[in-house]
This record gives sequence, C-alpha cells and structure tokens, in this order.
Amino acid sequence: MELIEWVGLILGITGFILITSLAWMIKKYHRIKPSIKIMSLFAIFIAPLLSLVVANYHVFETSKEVKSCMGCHVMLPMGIDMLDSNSTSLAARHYRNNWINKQECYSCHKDYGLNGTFKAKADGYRHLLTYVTHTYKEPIKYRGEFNINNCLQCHEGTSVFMKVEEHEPVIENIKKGAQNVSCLNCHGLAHPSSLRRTPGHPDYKMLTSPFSMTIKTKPENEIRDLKFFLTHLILNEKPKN
Amino acid sequence: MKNSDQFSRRDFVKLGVAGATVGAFTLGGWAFTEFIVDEGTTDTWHKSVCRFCGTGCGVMLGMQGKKLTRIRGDENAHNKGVICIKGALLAELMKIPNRLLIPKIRKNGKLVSSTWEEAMQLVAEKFKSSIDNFGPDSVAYYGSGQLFTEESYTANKLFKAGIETNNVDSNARLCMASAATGYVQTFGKDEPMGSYEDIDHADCFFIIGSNTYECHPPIWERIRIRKSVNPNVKIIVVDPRNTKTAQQADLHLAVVPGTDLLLLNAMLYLLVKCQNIDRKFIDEHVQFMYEEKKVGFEDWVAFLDDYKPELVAEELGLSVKEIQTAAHWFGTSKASMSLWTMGINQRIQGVFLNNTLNSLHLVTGNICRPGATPLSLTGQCNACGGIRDTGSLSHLLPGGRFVQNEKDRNDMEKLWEVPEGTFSERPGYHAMELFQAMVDEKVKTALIMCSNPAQSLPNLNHYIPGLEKCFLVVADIFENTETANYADVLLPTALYIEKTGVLGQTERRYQLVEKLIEPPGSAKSDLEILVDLAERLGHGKLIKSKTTADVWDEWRKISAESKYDFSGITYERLKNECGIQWPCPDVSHPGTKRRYAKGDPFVEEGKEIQFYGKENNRAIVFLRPYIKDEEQLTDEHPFYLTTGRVIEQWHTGTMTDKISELKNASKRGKFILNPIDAHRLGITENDLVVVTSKKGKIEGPVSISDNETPGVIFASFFDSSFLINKIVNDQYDPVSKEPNYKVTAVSISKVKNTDI
Repeated sequence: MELIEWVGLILGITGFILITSLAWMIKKYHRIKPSIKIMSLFAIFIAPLLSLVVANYHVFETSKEVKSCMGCHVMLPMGIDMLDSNSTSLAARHYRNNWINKQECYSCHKDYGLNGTFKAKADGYRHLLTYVTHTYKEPIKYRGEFNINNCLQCHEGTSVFMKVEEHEPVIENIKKGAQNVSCLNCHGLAHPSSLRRTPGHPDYKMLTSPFSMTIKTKPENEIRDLKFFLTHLILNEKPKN
Repeated sequence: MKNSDQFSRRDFVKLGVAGATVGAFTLGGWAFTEFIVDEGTTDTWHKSVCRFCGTGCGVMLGMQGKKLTRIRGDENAHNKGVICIKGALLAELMKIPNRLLIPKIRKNGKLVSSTWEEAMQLVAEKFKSSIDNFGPDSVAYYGSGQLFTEESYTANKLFKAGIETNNVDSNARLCMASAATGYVQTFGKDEPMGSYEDIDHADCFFIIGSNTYECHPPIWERIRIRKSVNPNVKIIVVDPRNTKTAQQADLHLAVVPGTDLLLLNAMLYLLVKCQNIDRKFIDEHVQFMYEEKKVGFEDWVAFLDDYKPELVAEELGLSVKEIQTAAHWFGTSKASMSLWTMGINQRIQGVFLNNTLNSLHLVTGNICRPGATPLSLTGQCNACGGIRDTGSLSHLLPGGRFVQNEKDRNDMEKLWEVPEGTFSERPGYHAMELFQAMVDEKVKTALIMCSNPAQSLPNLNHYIPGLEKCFLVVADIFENTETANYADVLLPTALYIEKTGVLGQTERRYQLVEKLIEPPGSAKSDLEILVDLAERLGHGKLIKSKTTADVWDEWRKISAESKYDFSGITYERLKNECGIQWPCPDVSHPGTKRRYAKGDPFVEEGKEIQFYGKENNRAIVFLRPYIKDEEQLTDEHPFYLTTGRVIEQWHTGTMTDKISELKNASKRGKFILNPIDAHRLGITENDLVVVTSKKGKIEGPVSISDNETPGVIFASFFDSSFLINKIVNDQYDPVSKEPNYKVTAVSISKVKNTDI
C-alpha cells in the first residue's frame, strides 16, 4: 500500500473510534462536556473531511495510472497493444523508447494546465459511467479531437523535432489556428485500428486476451509496475478450453 | 408512542430522497460531462481517398455543414491512418480562392467570359471541322492520371471508338510508361503483383530512383516502422543524390546519373557467382530472352560476364565492395522488396531498367510471397486505374489490350458494340509525338483535361509554339496555369470531392471518392464535359453511360472479359470497404493481395505460382545491355541536372503552391548544389546563377546543401516562375516513349550576388 492509502486508512479508523467513543460518552454522561465537544468536532467534521480530501486525492492520483484505465476491460486492446513489442502503434513505440515511464495513458490524453486536468477527470468520469451502465458499443471511438498540443508539449523544441524541416507547415497551420494537421496524420495510429478492435475481427481475441502477445522478458527488478499488473491481469484470464 | 426501532414511512421517504439525491448527482454529473467534453469541429466524417499522389491513401474527411474542416488518415485503410503533409492540408485545397467559375473563350487574344452553350458549341465545331478537313488524326485528347477512371474511360471510348483516332495519351506517359511496359514485357500483363502490405514482411528494401521520404511519405513511414521494429532489416538506396531517403539508408549507392543498369547487371552477376539464385524457381517459372529470341540460362550467365563489379565500378562511381554488399543483402535476405519510381522510369533505358529490376526478383525467387516483390511506385492518384487499366494511352485498348493486335481490336469492337474495323491498327501519337505534331500543325484541335503540359513537358521552349498553333481546349480548375495561357477555350471543372469517381493506386486497389460538396460557379465534372462533347459530335449513342455509376458498371462488366477482371468491385462495396484490389471476379471475392500467386483467381487450382500473362506461364528474364546515355558530361556541360519533387509540393504546383503552409515551407524554385561544387565555382547561398543545357538556359537562385552529391545539380519543377523543364532533355525511351527527365548535362555560372 502507498503512504496515502495508509493515511486514509488511519483517518478512517480514527474517525470510527472517535464516533464510537462519542456515542458511548454521551450515553454514559448524558451531557456534553467540553472535551466531548472537541472530540465531536474532530469525529463529525474534521476526520470525515480529511478522509474525503484524502480519498479524493487518492482517486485523482490513481486514476492517472494505466491500471485505472485498464480497469475497464474495453480498454484492454490499447494497453495490451502498448506492451506488444512487435506493435507499430505510436503508443507501443512510445512505451518501448521509455520516454514516458509512468501514467502512459494520462500523459498523452491530458491537456495542459488545470483546465486539462479537469477535462481529463470529467472525461474519465464519463467513461466510467458509460462503462458501468454498458451504454457503449465496441469498437469504442475517441470523442472529439485529440489535442496535438499534448504531443508538442514533449516534442516541440527538441532537436529531433526541430531538425525535421517538414514540421514547418505544421507549425504554420497551428499558428493560423486552423489545426487541420494532426501529428497522427504522418506518424501513424496511436492504438490498434477500430476495425481490429471490432468483435469478430481476427485480431480482436488477441487484443483482448493476448497470449500470443510478445512481451520482451526483462529481469524481475526491471519489470515496471504496469507491465507486472497487466501481465498478471492476462494470466488471471486464461482462456477456457 | 411510536417505537423508535421501527422503520417508519418518514424514514423510508428520507432514505428515498437521499438515494434519489445521490442518483441525481451521479447522473447529473454524467450529463454535465457529456455536455462539457468537446465533440470536435465536425458534424460528419466521410471515407475518401487523398487527391494527390499514387500512394492513394485512405482519408477520413470531417465536414462541418458543407465545409471540409478536418482530414485524418483512415485508420482502417491500407495506409493505417498515415498520410503526408499535403494530404493533411486537403481542407486548405478546397478553400483555394480564384477558381475558374465559368467557361472562357479566347477573343482577340484575351480570354473572355462565356456560357457553356457557346463554349461547347465552339469546341464541337472546331473538332468537327478538323475531322472533316484533315481526318480524325488531326484531333487529339491529352488526359491525366488524376481524372477519375470513369472520365478517362469515357474519353478513351469517345476518341478511339467514336472519333476513330488513337490520338489518346496522357501525362501518365511522362511518369509510368516505362514501368507499365516493363511489367508487360516481363509478365505479359501490366500492373504489379505485390502490395504495400509486403513492406511489413520485407527484410531487405532495395529502393532505386525513388526519394520515397519526400515523394511517397506514408510508404517511407511504413518502411521506417518496419525497420524500427526489426533493426536487422536492411535498406539499400540507389540515388545520385544524397536524399533524405538515402540519408536514412543502411547503404547508399550514389551512382553516376544514367549508369544504374550497370549496377543491376553487376548485382545479377554476383548473385549468380555467389549462388544466391533460386534454380528451382528459375526452372519452373522463368525463361530467358535476348530481344525477341529465346536463350538459355548459360547465355544469360555469359552475358553477365561483361558486368563484373571490377569492370563497372568506376563508371558507376562506386566501390566493388559497395556493389558486393548490395548484392549480398539482396540475395541473402529472407524477403527482398524493390521500390522505384521516376528515377528509373524517366530514363532513356527506362524499360530495360524495369525489366532488369523484375529479373532480380525472378532469379532469386523474391517474388509472389510476403515481403518479396518488385513494386513500382506511382506518381499520380489514378495513373494505374484511370490510364493504364482503361488503356487510355495511344497504343492501348482497355484491359491490357493493344491497338496493334487484331484480336484485341476485334474484342473491344464487340464489347463497345462498334463495327469491325473501327479502330485503327496504327498507334496514335504518344505524348511527345503529340506535342511535336502540334508544332508541325498535324494536330489541329486538342482537348487537354486536368493536366499542365506547358509546365511539365521537357524541352518546353520547343513545344510551346505547338500549343499556340493548335486550337486548344483546356478543362481545369484554375485560370492561371501555364497551359491555360495557351487555351482557346477554357472549361471550369469540378475538383476532388465536388464529383464522384474511382481512383486506382499503385497496388491495384480501386477506391471511391464520393461527392460531398457542389462545385463552385458553373464548374462541371470532366465526365459531364465529355458526355456533352460526345452528344455534340454525334456519338451520344456510343457514350450511353452518362453518369459515373453507369460508366463504372459498364467498365466493370467489360473488365470481366480480361485478366483485369474487377467485375466484383461495385460502387456499393467501395462505399463500405477501404478499397479492393483486383482481380476481383465476383462481389463475394475479397480482392487479390498477391497476383500470380495462390489466391489470385486466375492461378489454376493446385499451383502456387503461375505467371498467366504469358502463354507458357513463364516470366521473362531479359538480357538487357547497358547503353551509354547520350547526355554525357563534356567540358561545355560539366554537371548533371536532375529534377524531382519536394515533399511539400505536388507536380506542377497548381494546387499545392496555392496552399500557404506548403508554399512557405517549400519556398521558391531554385538550383541546389553540393558545397564542394559551390566552393569550386565561387557560388554562395542565394547567388543568382544561369544554368545552360543543349536545350536552353534558365536563371535562378542557388541553395547549397549536403543533400546533393558533387557533380549533380537538383531542381524541382513545381514553381511556374522557375520553369526548369525549359532546359531538360526531351529524348525518350524508344519503347515506352517516356522522356529522360533525370539526366541532362548542363553548365552553371554565376550571374551576380543577390545578398538577400
């Protein structure tokens, strides 16, 4: 467990003990002593509030993790493809080059600044409710447009980016405010195509239960948390035959 | 007294309200997020195809009302969502101002506004008068590898079966004729056997005469990805220039311009010597020929003795080791794939080069299996489907038939329901002959559609007077093209998604472009213009299919009588599928990924490979000797000029040079020199120089770049204020009749410093 989870647990237990003690003391003394008032304040307001803050913070933080995104099984093709060392998708290529070491989904899908955080969380909440109510249809589609500034946040200004003269018209287009050009136009698919993610397609089974997937084996201490999680997720879903 | 332990109605109501409140917050939050999460700027998305090059990328077009606002690569198409910067700016293409909106007629030297009725009446009269007075061969049609298939098919039918002239040619002659002839000679049928998908399986790429990085960027991206996933994959690039493609190669062979047939033959020599040939494949599927004569394997081996690397390396400008490495990589890889384009096709020995490239694959068995194939890349979006397949060249008839072949003529006369003997057995004027015939006043009236020969022809100064003499009808989207300057009648046409039609790209894939917006002004589709002209010339009954859907159905059914059979590719299927590769003989057929191999409907049951284009099912390895290019360096002309495209511009720039992002990035036309040459000549960046060839001279600024090799000057031809083709050599391949754009001997001298 992470520290934040311990803090939340301790706060929760403390609050429970305090409320129980409070109830017992009120029953015993039939009056509210000053010490009980202080305890009441802490038990009824401060501890729950702190718990709420901690819990929210925890949810906000953990929802940035790939594990959280992959919690909805409809997202599995994206995660599994990302780990496939033979995949040519942008996600897999970014994963292989180790530039984004954690929060792989969130790093690319969150826009810049507080507004970006808010939008990402709001969209995550929408995804969650769509998923639990099963009001989606596979293959799922990206809503709206991917913000290419999310690519530029990392790439713009790097020598590799700047030395490619062909980026000039892209920058001009962005400056015009037209944003017709997407990085994905030239650099390929971010994730498996919608056709491959459609139930019934020959690749669908592999993308959702990928025993044929090639994950390069690394020493245990090098296996990152995400790969560990997903590998185990896959192992827990062995095909029934 | 009320029992406090009981769950009262009030408690139930409280609990209900609490539950409803939680539910309302949850659902309200959901509704709120549905409201605030951006849906983008498009109302609808439509599957389509890019307008520009022969890669034929699938695109998704985002429309907002009647406006094209977004372009994305189609993730489910062959290009897997990848398009290039030009395709990404298709929305800007549709916004270009100053389109030609109404027909114009030249009166007293000036183009003046007219009506369709007046303009078409004049066109019909001029055609009739030329035919009546000088015969049907005094008129001509010059089309384009950018028209839809339905349009080229109709023009071909109108002129060959209606007007009864074979004077039908197109700008595809200038870019694909050598590849087409090479395929026909080697395999008996035009068009490649391989697919883009082979890139995902190849272990060795042999890229020759192609700057794939700049000219077919999505294909290069696919090669690059293949290499990045499998670092052992080898990329060999043969190019006199140190292009961006060459810079990323494992082996760059910077050959002297015009000599690369020496390299191909030397590689064949080494493949034989190192026993990297597939004798079993040769015995089963190959025969050897020298010109028209059959020869044996031993004759071929003996022929190659003249191409020992030690004998040819110096002339090639390479080391023996480099040739050996290329041959070794090609011969020992599990699957080798060759890719080429204009650097091979636009050559005096273009057909020989194509033959020999095909031979490299035949003798090593690198053909008709995943990753192993020769694949010529196409320059225009519909040169394959629209020109080659419909036979819209002066020597062809539809479906791979030839005008000189009596059976082929009779077949097409029956299929088009015209009397026997309608077709002339003499090929019409090919592109270069056609413009010469205009100079010589043999062709009096011509219709030019969707092409800009006044900028794209080599040795321009020689052919321009012909354009002035001939009564020229030009159908185009703009009034300010170089060719429009010589038009006697200018007809406004629809562009891209302003009309419907089929495009056929490099890998035999037919794809549909659907009409999404109305053309501006009174512009019409090229098909409407052709149908109108046919009516006015009295051929309305012949041109019975008057809509794109009807023309497609007619052509689809006719194709069933040939090995080009795509009768299963209906509009309905094309609307739903991301293109289909022919042969495709019925509507349930998935299309043919690899031609001549198992899975091709024409390959007999039980056979793995069958080159059915040839009567004995054997492809031909020709003994093709190297002949020195006439354009040799001399003291007077000590440099080679070679021309080509740049990534931001497409062909003569009539479209791309009007898109600010592309225009600003490509800058203006210029000569590009290697720093060593520049230093030797005392030329610095931006100096104004004059470059002179046997054909003339042209002034322009200089840019200095390591992308060029010493002794070679590069210039692109997109800029209408820098008509480089004025000085380019117009000799052509004696078989394909494709001009030798790539090799011109020139001199260069400084005019003055511009100090910009």
